[in-house]
Amino acid sequence: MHEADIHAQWLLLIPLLPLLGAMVNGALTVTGNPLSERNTALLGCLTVLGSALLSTNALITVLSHEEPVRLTATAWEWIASGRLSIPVSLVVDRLSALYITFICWIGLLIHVYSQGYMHGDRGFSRFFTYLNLFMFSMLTLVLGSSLPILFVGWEGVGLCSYLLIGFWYEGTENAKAGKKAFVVNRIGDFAFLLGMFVIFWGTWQLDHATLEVAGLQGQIAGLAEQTITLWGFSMRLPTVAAILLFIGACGKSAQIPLYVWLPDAMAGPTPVSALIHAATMVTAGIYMCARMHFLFSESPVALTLIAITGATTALFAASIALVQNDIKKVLAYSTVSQLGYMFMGIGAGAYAMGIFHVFTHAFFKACLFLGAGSVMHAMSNNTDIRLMGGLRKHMPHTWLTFLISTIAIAGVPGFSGFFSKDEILAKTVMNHGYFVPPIVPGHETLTALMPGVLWGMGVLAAFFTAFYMTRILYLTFHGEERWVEAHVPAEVDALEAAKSRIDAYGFEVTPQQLHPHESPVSMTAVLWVLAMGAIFAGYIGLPHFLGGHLAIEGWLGGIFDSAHAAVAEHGAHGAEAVAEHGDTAKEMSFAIISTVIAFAGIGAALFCYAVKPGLTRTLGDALSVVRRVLSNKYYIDELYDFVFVTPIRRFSESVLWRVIDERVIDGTVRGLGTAARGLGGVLSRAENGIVGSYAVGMLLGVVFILGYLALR
Amino acid sequence: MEITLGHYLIVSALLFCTGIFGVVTRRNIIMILMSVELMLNGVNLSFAAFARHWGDGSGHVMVVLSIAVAAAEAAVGLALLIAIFRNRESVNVEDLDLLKG
Repeated sequence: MHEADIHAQWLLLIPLLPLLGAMVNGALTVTGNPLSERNTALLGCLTVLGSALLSTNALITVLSHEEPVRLTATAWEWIASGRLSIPVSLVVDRLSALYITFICWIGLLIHVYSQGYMHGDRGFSRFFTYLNLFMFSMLTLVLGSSLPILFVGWEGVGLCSYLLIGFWYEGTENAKAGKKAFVVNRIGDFAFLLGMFVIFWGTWQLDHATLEVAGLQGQIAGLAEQTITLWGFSMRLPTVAAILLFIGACGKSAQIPLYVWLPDAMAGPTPVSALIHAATMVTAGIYMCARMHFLFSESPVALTLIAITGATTALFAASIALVQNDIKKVLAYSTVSQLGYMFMGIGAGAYAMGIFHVFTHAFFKACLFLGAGSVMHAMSNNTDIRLMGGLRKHMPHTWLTFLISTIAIAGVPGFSGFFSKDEILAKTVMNHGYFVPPIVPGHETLTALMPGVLWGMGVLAAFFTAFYMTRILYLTFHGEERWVEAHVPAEVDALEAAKSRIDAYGFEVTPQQLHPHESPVSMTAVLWVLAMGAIFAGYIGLPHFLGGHLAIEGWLGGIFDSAHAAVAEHGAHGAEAVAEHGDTAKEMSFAIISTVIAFAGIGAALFCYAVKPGLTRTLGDALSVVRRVLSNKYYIDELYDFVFVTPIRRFSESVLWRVIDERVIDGTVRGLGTAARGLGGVLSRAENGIVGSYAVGMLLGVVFILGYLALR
Repeated sequence: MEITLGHYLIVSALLFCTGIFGVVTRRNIIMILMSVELMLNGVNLSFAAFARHWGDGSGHVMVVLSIAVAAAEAAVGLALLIAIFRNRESVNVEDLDLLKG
């Protein structure tokens, strides 16, 4: 696969424009002289619009070529040290063209939405500064031509995530959430760095293109004979590197065990949740895995690990989402779960499908989050769905777009989520490159069972997804109103009616006085655009049995050919491991199962909340242990607190602070001062003002010198 | 008994050491200055003795030079002494402790 490289220096503008916007808005904010709200938003949106137009141009350019091409742009030489040469250069190929296009356009939509949402906020210009800075970092990440440049963007998005989550920093909880996000991300970043070091150590290269060529020429495979041995356990070099990079991806893309920051991140403003934690930053991990596909394909162990982690996370997070009452928390866990699906796709060797799901998910998840923001706007920042109900009459646009996105995420055929999710589930079974190493007893049975088990987990998670999404849709927008129109004073009958409706479900909350209203056009227009994407984005991946050509797979496939070849070589089942796309009947049966599951989930939720409202309460009381475990998120936060956070904090306070900082370091510094003073005190005794002693001193000096000279 | 070089040097050394003893021990500044003169004279004697012994005229030149310097130094020293006395009403070296630090 030989690619022609087209030189396109204008690519540098794509990340530069938002950076410029961030610097201008930032400088003005910091000096206390921000532009007016309208101009700040205008500057922020225009820069992203510029990037969006340029990205579309790049996409069109790449689309217009038959074979895969790359557009490149180089700025300057960053690191030149011995055999390592890393220029600051950007590369666009089919994968990154797709990515930057949707990042920029969805980013633009969210910038526009933010103008309405953040109206009147004291930190309005600071918000747009951070948003632009984020766009710069994300675009650098995707466009970077080598791992270090990618890492610069990687860190940048982590930083912006911290800044934006803790945006309303006066609240302690918000600040803590931002800190948590950054620290957990950092753990992943550490693993990512180690992975980079391992790759460099093995290949002396860090540039994507060169590494890929090295992979193609079998150099990485050849290096695969090199092993790294730790504590007597030796692993092949690609495996070590792949696993380390994947742990980095777990941190960024919120997989087990590093997902804990994402639900807390809901403390940030809703546009942030939509942009960063649905459409862009969390997909960086998946992008990186797709970029380094040649590496991951060399290591079936890593791919299996990825698939297992993805499936487990998908199911785990979906189960937690079932019982959450905060609309944003449900969407957060839903994001974690959907990211699990994307990793399942990667782990199955179906990189294009993982990316496809990233693409469709960006639309419907962003729409869901922004819809939630619209609801919060109307309900005086309430997020508890138990307090809502019947909002569709008051907020029709929000309702309809939320409905469309819910249907999409549930996987109903015809909408985008169905195509991507179904393909992933199908490929999980059809690509059987999974591999359980011989050190595990019974590894052959496990290897044979694994596709089925993972598929089952995915299907169950899909059922849960359909269920909980329908649940929040219904409880928020449908049914009778469980709140009271805000009058002063509140009418007693209305309050009682609302209370009885709340009791019908068995919720334990009190009705609130609210005044819901539809959001302004700047917000609803964005919702509609995203909803249209949620419907139509799936058609680029229309599968064979419906007459399509699985266009996206073919299109991105050119990039992943080497990956498929490697999976074929190393997979547990050898040559059969590559996708069998010709098998229409099999694809159709998977599609039917997915459809059935989606409708089953929706139907079950409607039954539980529309037909028999008290059912969930009775079930919950009967299975109270399950309910408690799920509502408390499997007590994972408490577990981490107990195992990691509290011991580290106590160690820091009692040892690192009290002993090492106060006694050793401060002691050394103070000790130096004391020693100097002491020495001074001793020496100053020679300055006693007694002339006779000076004469004696001179005499002694002469004696010593003469003695030294005489005895030499 | 033949008076050899050695005798001269011993006398010179005795003069020198007496001078040192005086510098270190005496409290009166004038006594200290006198002791310094003694030291200079001891050295002058040893220079002259060496010059006579080796038949070298440089020793005599050193003596003349040394006497001139001693004279100048005595003049300056006494002038300083008078200035100190006018300020401190004392020629006791133990009273001059302004440099105590």
